[in-house]
Amino acid sequence: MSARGTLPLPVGGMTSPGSSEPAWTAPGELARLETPCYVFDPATVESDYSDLKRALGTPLLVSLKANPNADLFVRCAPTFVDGIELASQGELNVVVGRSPVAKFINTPAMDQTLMRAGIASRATLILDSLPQVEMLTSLTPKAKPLPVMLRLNAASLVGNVAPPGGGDHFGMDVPDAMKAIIRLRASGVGLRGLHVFAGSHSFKSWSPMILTAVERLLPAVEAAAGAPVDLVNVGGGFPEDWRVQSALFDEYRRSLSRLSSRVKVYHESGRAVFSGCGHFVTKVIAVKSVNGGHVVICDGGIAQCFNLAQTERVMKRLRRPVVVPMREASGAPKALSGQVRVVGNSCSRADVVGELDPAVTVRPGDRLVFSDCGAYTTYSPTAFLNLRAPTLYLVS
Amino acid sequence: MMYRSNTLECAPLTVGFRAVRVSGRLTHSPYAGMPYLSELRPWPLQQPHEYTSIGMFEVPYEQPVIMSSQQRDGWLADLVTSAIQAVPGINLTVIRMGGPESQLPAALLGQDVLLANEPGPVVARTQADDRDGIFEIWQDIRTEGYSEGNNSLVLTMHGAALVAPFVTFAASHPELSRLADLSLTAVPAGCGWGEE
Repeated sequence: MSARGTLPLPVGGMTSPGSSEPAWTAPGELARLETPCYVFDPATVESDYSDLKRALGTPLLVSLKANPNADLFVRCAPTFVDGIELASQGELNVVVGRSPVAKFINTPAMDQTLMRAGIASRATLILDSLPQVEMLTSLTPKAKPLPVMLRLNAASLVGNVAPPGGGDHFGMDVPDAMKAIIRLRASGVGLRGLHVFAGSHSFKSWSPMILTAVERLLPAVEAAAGAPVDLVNVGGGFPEDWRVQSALFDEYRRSLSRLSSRVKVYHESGRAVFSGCGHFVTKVIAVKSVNGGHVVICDGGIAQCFNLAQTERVMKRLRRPVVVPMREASGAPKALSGQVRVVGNSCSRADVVGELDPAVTVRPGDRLVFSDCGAYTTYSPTAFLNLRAPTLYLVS
Repeated sequence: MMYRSNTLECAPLTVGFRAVRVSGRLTHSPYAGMPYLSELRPWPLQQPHEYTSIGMFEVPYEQPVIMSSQQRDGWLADLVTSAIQAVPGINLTVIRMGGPESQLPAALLGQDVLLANEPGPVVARTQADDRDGIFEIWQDIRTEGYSEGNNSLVLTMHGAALVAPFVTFAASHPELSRLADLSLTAVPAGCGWGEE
């Protein structure tokens, strides 16, 4: 649960009179929704984006992979003034023609089709490897790309590669980046800047090291390029509950001043921008008892909302969804006892997505609403069982 | 001399007007707070020239997208239905609408409803046949990132006997009465819209 989620009123949408819950969570409104489903609120995206950008004090790119819903993009695009980062042709096809916002394309899997599409879309390509540099130079001078950026491997940049071959597989190590700059210069392709990203939830531990290392590397980069670079995207890795680290942000913002004095510093975010905007709604199919505990079986779980699997957390702490009793729910409310687990429909023993207080009554037909599920909604490890995909709604 | 007002007060509109026009701009969704089905999909693009072409639509628009196409169509259908109930003399409704993007509501497919890219000439032609009681809806509601428009709405009621009831209807309508840049223009009998 993010700090924003503890506010008395949700951002955006309307609330029921005398209630802190959005009006659409009333039983009569929930009954209209086809479950399992997501409900996204564009007003929350806009608000959370603006809050994070203000906390950082720099331009903020939006990583569309966190939520590539086209309706949400169209509604929020005027807010994403600094640009969006895309990682596939499918994502490019969501945004092209729909907004003049600046586009940045970055993926280690960029092939010639995506590269050509990106150039035609006037996107800034962020090259991930020497083979991508060669691919681009083979297309010039016929293709005329915008000045490109280079993605640096975070571990290489900060000198934290142990054992050899360690770190993630994104970007170039520093020696290859220097070769790339020389190759681009010889080919007449401009260098716009550098990009570093250490991964999800990396902000606290990596960002200070990245700032220092980028500042140290810049003179050599600019010397090799023969010109100053325009911008450096130092990534993000902000958690959804970044607001609880306000003191850290204050200190970090101050630490940006040296680098900001010589180059435009950008950050990027997906999780922190989109997480709060989404609710996952699932319907209770059955309630059963097993070995003295109770199990609430739902029509959706990790197959539709993989976030609830909490694979990126060291400690999995089960979520407690809001139970909305429905008028048409069947059977008398059941008194529960022992541990009450909420499970999805994927036939996986890992599909335990939440727990309920035994004092809560729940019946088949009731709806469970999980908040803060707006990021990485399309991520799914498999299509196991051919389960129904979640229906997607937006709040006006 | 035409009657103009930036409110929907109808007191001056007693007799002698042959048409009335209410115009303004929607600044929020009429369905605020309610979920709607996500409709938009990625474009099926592959070739560089396709990206170059669609890039021509990437221009800044001042007004935001506030409704989906289904919401817009549903809202227009409700507007038509409620107007016909409040102003029984309406015998033809002409609505500005491009190619429909989804299945249209039944109220927009009635025999007395006409959808046109440009309603003006249709209305003029119909009036030339001495047909009156025409409700003209010119809408420019944005439903997509590429769509031009400024969420404006111009509603014209043609027919002397319908002017006063239509203004009463518009004044009591929950959304029309709250349009931004609201204005009301009434045309005396014997005058055109451009004559002042």
